[in-house]
Amino acid sequence: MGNKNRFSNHNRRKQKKDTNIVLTSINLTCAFLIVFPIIWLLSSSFKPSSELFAYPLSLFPEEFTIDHYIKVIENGFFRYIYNSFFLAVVGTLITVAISSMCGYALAIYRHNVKYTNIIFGVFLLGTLIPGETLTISQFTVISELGLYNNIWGVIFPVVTTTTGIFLYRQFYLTVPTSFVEAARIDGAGEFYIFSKIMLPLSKSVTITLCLFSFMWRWNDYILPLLVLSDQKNYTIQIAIKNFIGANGVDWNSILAGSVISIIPITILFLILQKYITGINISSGDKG
Amino acid sequence: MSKNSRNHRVFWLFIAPSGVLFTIFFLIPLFLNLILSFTNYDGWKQMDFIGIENYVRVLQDKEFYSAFFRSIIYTIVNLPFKVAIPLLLAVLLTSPKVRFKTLARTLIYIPVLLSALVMGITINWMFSQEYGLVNFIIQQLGGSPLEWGSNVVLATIVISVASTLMTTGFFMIIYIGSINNLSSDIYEAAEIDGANSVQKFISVTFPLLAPTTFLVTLLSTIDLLKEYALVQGVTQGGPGTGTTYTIQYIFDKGFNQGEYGYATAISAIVMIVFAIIAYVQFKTNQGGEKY
Amino acid sequence: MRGFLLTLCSVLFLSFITACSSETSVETNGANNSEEADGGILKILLSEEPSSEDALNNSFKKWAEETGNKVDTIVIPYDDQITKFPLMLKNDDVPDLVSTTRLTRLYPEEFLDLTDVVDIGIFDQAALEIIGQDYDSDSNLALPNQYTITSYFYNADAFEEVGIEVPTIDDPWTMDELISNAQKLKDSGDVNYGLAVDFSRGRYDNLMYSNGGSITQETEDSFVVSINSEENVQTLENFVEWNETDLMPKVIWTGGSTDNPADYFKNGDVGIYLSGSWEYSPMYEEITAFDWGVMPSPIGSLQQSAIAGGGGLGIPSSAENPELAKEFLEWFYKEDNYVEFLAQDKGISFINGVTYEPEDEKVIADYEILQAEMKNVTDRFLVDEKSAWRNYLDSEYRDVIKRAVSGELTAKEALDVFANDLSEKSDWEIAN
Repeated sequence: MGNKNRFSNHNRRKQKKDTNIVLTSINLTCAFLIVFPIIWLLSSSFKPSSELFAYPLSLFPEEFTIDHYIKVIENGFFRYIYNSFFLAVVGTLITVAISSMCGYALAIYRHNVKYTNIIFGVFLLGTLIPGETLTISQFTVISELGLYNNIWGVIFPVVTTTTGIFLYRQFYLTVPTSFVEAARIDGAGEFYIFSKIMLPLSKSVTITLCLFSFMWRWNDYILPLLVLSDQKNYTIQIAIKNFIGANGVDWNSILAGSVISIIPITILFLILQKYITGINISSGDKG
Repeated sequence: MSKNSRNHRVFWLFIAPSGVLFTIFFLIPLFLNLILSFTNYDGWKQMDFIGIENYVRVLQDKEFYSAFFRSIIYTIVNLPFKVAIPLLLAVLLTSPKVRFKTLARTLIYIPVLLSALVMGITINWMFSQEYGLVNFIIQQLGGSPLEWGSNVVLATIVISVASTLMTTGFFMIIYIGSINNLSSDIYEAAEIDGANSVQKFISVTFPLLAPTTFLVTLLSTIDLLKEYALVQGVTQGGPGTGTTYTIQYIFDKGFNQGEYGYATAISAIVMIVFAIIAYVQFKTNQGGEKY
Repeated sequence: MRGFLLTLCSVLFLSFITACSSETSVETNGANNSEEADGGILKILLSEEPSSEDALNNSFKKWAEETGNKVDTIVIPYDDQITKFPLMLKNDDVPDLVSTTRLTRLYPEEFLDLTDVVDIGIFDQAALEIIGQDYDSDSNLALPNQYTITSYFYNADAFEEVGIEVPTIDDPWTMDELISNAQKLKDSGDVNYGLAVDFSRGRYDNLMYSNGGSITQETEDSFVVSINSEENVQTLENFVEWNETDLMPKVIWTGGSTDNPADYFKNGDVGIYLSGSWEYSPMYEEITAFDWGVMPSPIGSLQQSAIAGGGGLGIPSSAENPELAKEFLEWFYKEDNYVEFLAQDKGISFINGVTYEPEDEKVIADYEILQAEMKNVTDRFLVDEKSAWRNYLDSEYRDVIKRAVSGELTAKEALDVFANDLSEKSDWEIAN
């Protein structure tokens, strides 16, 4: 930790000394290009329908309107936002809880339990297989369990994420086993070691996974569509998809709806991003 | 001995929540799918055991082969961009000479937050052949509008752009994390040796980042091979079948046409091939991996 | 001791999860119960998010107000309905009323026969057959709520500019005339495209029927596949050529984009646009920059052609509240209510003797043309409908046309591929 601080202080000192204008502008240009499609989406969503398809196009709406937003919100969009929120928050809490336990066990007990790698391999299957192709079978299981048209029917099937397990496993691999041994000698219980000592250490992984998990659940589409059959339970993605009708796309509503769907997740990212200093996935024991 | 068996029990208790959910909602459906691949299940009422007929059919299905090879080509062509762009951005964003890093990082990350559906909408809106911004700009610059939708190569480029946008921020963050973890001593040593930035990158940073690059490559490969939701959102597999990749093919032939049994047989084969590709990548990189 | 603690924690964790799950299910049940106490709830499945001007949705609202019942709508887009509906059936969670174009055809055994629910005699016979009749059992599984006909829209300003005279009901164009005029329009530079056709087989098939082609032919006791006949290949070749030469916006029919020709037309970029009567209302509302109108369909090598279609309301046999759904249907088709619906819907009437009477004179003239197209629904289209070939293959047909337009297959190859697939699935021979 101390080492890291020294490094960033060192950075800061350097920054004052020489800022490279060329590199800085390349950097900002790239960033602008990458985010530009979304800026364009945002600007278009404030244009009246007559301007949407009219050449010449202009970056800013000539006539600024929020009619599309009003229309979308009147359509009950807040309800869908609430549902997506519930799904994302609860799903994320469970994901973090179970992934941390699993990843921890796979890393810490690797010397005691011989088949940890095989178990990890089975979990890795989850990333190799395109989840979409399992949808129908998954659905069969969900309805057999009586979770059809139940919010838990769209939470439980997706909370186990290989990525989460992977991130925690990689993190705890970097923690020296002697650390755990020392705690054991002090008489700490296994679960105590995990929850009170080890879990707080992995704060950056936890925050990163929170963001990812929230984003995945927020963006889920196919499973909620199949499992939920009560409009009151619809999520924001289903609502957006419903603007694509049989006779074409309702561009006015879909642009506004899309922008609304991006806002909460972006805010969350802005709040959390300072904690996400990057995930140390590949390194060995560096303390 | 008793200590070890206690460790086993604790180990399993930690694994249990994930393990149980994973078994119920992933392994069992996977197993169900495997059984269904030997039937003519139509997703509804008909389900007779028909042996390996589906598998024989897959191996003779020309359209499956073309979809599959399209996937492979798409993956190979896109892989360098998926890996190199985040790496270069990460190097820029960790350079002490660059300002506005937080702002840039935030902006680059935002596209990652979008769902495939919304990303598809955004990209379609930009690249619409008739009223899209991109063609408008081309025309303003004196060019003639490009056929983004009806030309296979251009349509593939559109999907590739969308796909790269959706992962660049993510991989960039991974790289930034790894670069920050490199010991600063090495840099200082390189500086004393009088290495310039480019030399430093080639001789110091890049080799040290090899394990991260491997990870990013592996994840990108799997992502690209599995590309589906985005294709569905942007081109629906068109023009013609020009951007119909493996998973899309499984859906078109299988689920949309009620040939569920056949679709599961294709996905079983595809799964095995994907696993082999990932395994080969893993093995070739084993030298650099510690675990 | 430690082991015990650990077990305890895990058990607590797991029971927390299960507790959460049972709590919410209780909650949702509770909510349902309290609502039911107020009166009947009619659960309706729609395919599109209804706007505030949606006539059918307003009828539902009015019915609910008058009768004290409640309506609970669920919107599932058309494509997803086909996946979702069987899942609803499996889980005994079926809406009471379904607004659909295809479900009653795909799952005829899952819908009630509505023949005796209302007096079937009031309906336009063709509308009733096309929308909801089950040819196997002669029962009516869906009653119409929307009746549409394909129609050719034109950009009147562009016509005037180039000096093209609009054809009339008594003196329609030939297909050749239409194409040469479309070419003139394009050449004048007034519009970007002379002709645009919706990305739908229901529009394209008009070209085929008007040239004497069909997808199937009826034999004594079955059908044969005739989609790859010579005249059909010729029709498709022409169609591909119009796309190749940019007379038409090629991107629409190659797929690969969500561009919609309706936007092109509304923006004044298309001379002649083959779409359907349902576009009339939105165009009337949205187009202000130029004059436009409706013209009769052109005569192909054999005749004119129009395709009728629409949507209907069906009651699933396993619905919880079929009686309430029937009540609604009875109410909906009562003359007063229907007239009010039609005035808002501005569509073509599917009940004999009741028509929508527009106020605007231009609209009156246009409606006359739309209504006159009804007589151009070809017998071969009705045979194809009867064969229900779409129960075997549906989107695949448009896909092969798409592949022909994009140049992956020749017209002949494309239609041969489809003919073979259809023949294999349906067990019908391919006609020679």
